[in-house]
Amino acid sequence: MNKPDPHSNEHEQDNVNLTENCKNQCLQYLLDELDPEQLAWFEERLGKSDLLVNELQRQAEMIVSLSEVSSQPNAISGPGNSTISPNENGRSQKLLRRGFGIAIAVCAAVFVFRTWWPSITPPQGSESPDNKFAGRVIHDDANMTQVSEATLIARAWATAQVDDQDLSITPNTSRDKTTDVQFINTSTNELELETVPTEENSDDSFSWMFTATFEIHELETNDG
Amino acid sequence: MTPDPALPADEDLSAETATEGIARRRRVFNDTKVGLRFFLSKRLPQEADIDDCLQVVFVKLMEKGDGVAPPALRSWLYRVASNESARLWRTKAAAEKMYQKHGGVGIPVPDPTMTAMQAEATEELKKALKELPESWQQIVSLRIYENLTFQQIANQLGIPLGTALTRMRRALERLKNDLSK
Repeated sequence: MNKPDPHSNEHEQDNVNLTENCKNQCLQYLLDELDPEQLAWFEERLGKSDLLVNELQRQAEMIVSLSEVSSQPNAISGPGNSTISPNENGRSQKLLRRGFGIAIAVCAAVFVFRTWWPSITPPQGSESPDNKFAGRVIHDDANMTQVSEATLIARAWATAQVDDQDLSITPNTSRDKTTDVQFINTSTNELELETVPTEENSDDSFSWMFTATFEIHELETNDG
Repeated sequence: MTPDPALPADEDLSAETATEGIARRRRVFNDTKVGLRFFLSKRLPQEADIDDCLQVVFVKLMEKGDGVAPPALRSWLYRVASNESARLWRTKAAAEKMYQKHGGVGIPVPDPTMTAMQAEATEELKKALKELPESWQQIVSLRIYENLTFQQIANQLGIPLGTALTRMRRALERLKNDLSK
């Protein structure tokens, strides 16, 4: 014979009406306040009583609805509170910080690129220091509209340096080198420089810097 | 189960990392799984449907449970389970009709009015909440928004535990009735 179920009376009562105690347990269960023994018993009853299931569902609905209202603080708290939930606020701050970081990184990358790129770019047809310099001069001439006096002086000085060194080049050097040197000699004419139309004119100060940097580099290289 | 009274619950949870949050949700699901299964067995006759439903509940918990207030997490699981079981019934019924009519399966279309209805329900709930007796409002606020246990609330207010439970439950019943009017 089966042992009588200690909760059988209560179980039978479930089918008529739920007790106050039972409803309170439902509430405690949903809010995770039942101790393990009560929890097991309650869950077992859940599988047997439709009334209990319905009560549980009703209470669960209301608790969730109330918790959703709590994410909109006007419900109970004062009117001065923000309408943004802490999660959303944190996310937007993170996005803002990330965007700011990206902007700074891009600015830094552009600055570094602008500063260092011309100095590391290999000049056209360069094999010797002379030709490196020649390539630079040709490139600058092609891209300049209004050349400052300082730049022109630097160019003239640099060209003179090239011309001086050009004398030491033997007639048997490669065809390319000869072409470059000849082009330099014609392109450094001031009249030609003034009439050559180009697009960029904001790098005037950089031109002088590049010329001077190259010249310093040349001197250092020649020294040994 | 019972939070440390020395630490306010909100502060405790605000320091929770994403990994800790996932672990907490997983733990709540595991603690509730047996109850959910019993609950679903009353709605879905087939064991396979119950398993499917539980899987969906778990997936939704991982996807959306982050935004649920911790005291309401178990209740939320039951709501999702209830909605999913209903959806399963509807899908089955619709699929049967579809097969009978056209011999194919239709794609469920999301209802655009649902969001508006939910917003309206929330507004009504706010109003109803303000109309509750103050002693009931206090219990609701301390339990749901401050995340104190009923025992802590009873101790703080100097009332028996049963009274705190009954006030909360009556508040829920009143709110339910006001919303369904």
